[in-house]
Amino acid sequence: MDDIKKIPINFKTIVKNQLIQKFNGVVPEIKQIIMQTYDDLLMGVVTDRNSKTNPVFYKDEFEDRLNKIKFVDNMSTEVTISIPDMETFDFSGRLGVLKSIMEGTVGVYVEISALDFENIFNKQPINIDPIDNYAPKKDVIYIIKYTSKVRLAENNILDKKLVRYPFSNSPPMDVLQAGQNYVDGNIDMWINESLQESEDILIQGLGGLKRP
Amino acid sequence: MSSLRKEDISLYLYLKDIILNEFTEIEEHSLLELMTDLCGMNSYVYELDTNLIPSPKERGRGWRYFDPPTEINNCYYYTSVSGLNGDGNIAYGTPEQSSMVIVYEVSSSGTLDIIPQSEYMIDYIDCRIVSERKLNSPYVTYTWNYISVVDEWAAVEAAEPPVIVIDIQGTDKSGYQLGGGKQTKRKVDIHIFASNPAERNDIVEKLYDGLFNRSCVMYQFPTGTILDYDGTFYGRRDSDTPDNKLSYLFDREEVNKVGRLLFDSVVARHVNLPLVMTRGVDEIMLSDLNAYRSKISFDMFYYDDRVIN
Repeated sequence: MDDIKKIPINFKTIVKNQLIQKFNGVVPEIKQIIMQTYDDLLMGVVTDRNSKTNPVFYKDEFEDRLNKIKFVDNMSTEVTISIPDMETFDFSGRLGVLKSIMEGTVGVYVEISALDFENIFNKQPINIDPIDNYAPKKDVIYIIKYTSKVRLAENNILDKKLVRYPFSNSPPMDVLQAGQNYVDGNIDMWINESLQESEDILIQGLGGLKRP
Repeated sequence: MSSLRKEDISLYLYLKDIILNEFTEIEEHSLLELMTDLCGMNSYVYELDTNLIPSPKERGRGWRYFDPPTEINNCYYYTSVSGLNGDGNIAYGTPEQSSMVIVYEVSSSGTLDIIPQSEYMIDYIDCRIVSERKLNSPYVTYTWNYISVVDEWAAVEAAEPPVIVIDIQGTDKSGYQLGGGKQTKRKVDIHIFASNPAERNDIVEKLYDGLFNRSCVMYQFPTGTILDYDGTFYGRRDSDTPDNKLSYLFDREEVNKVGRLLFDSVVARHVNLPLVMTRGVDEIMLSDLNAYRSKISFDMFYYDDRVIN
């Protein structure tokens, strides 16, 4: 009797373990798809060598942050697989520029150093983080709207042309969505496979009966 | 017209004519200016002369071409009447507005008289009046769409905020029953660009409520959309009989054997970008479209029982 009573409890545990195993097994694939999408959408787009917002510079950090994300959660009684999106992914610090790229930008913007910004506006940008906080002031870059004032300042104050933000007037390029699409398209199959494997394990545990 | 295009336009009309119906403004007795370059033999073109910002003439706005929807609590928002569609065939639908655009002219006695609608055509996109006779100091009272609704990212900058962009992206089709039929699912994003946080929040809330647990019909568009390429009500220009000019209507025939467009998984979030918005008091600057943004994402799906040929 005791063995029979234990079956539902054990089966739940078996299914949970199988799901964890299955989900953990697909996480590398999800990461690979996201990074592949990053390459497809963002790499090679920027041709201006002076641009500091080229996604090439941020790929490694983006991948590091992706690797730090816990995709599978098995702390509770449920097993969840969650994919980072534009809200949950950590775009803080240098990766803020990637957020701008992925959300899309309307209008023409330019890249400007903190030094040049102060020369034009006689103040520092307020409440906005630069792309790289730790760089020297002349290399600290902000993205600002290319207004008539900035255009005039190029000639009258800076005596140089500012680098155009290469993703000006670009629609959203949500790299992370590719991971979510992959999960949406396969989650039913993964659950079915996990259940089938759980059944096999249970049947074997009950005396090695084979599936008809 | 492909199914995707019908869905796209049906969603566009649902949002613009019904959900955002409250975001309309009335302007009274505005001057109409004669456009001599556009005039021809027995054709006088008058354009709205306005300094309003945002301008009613900007892309995605224009004058209202229908009277306000009446059956708001029903699944159908406009009462269909019998008439002729743009091709002159008998149809049920919605006629051209009767109270959204009123044109006046100064009479010989100096009073401001209303000109009967049968005497002129309206270009709803460019806010123009086309008359067969020369009008005497014409004025117009009109209702216009305050929110610009466009369907491509590139068009956003063509108008001052508020602007919304409808972006239909991915498609997923699957069977849903034994035998024929399929379920079609589209991923849709609506990008909202407002001129201040309050306006953004108002628009987002209105759109969210209009999509959450709601649906809209998918039109067949047998004679195309509501307006012709020149902004006039479809079929109006080609009418030979003056009496029939106002009996033309937008044919609200629905696609046969296709369910309503259902909205699911509606999610709204604000978009804050780390861009510097240079707004000095010492410069005249148009509002920055990226300053107050939001995004509503949802799935739009429907059941299709048509036989595949």
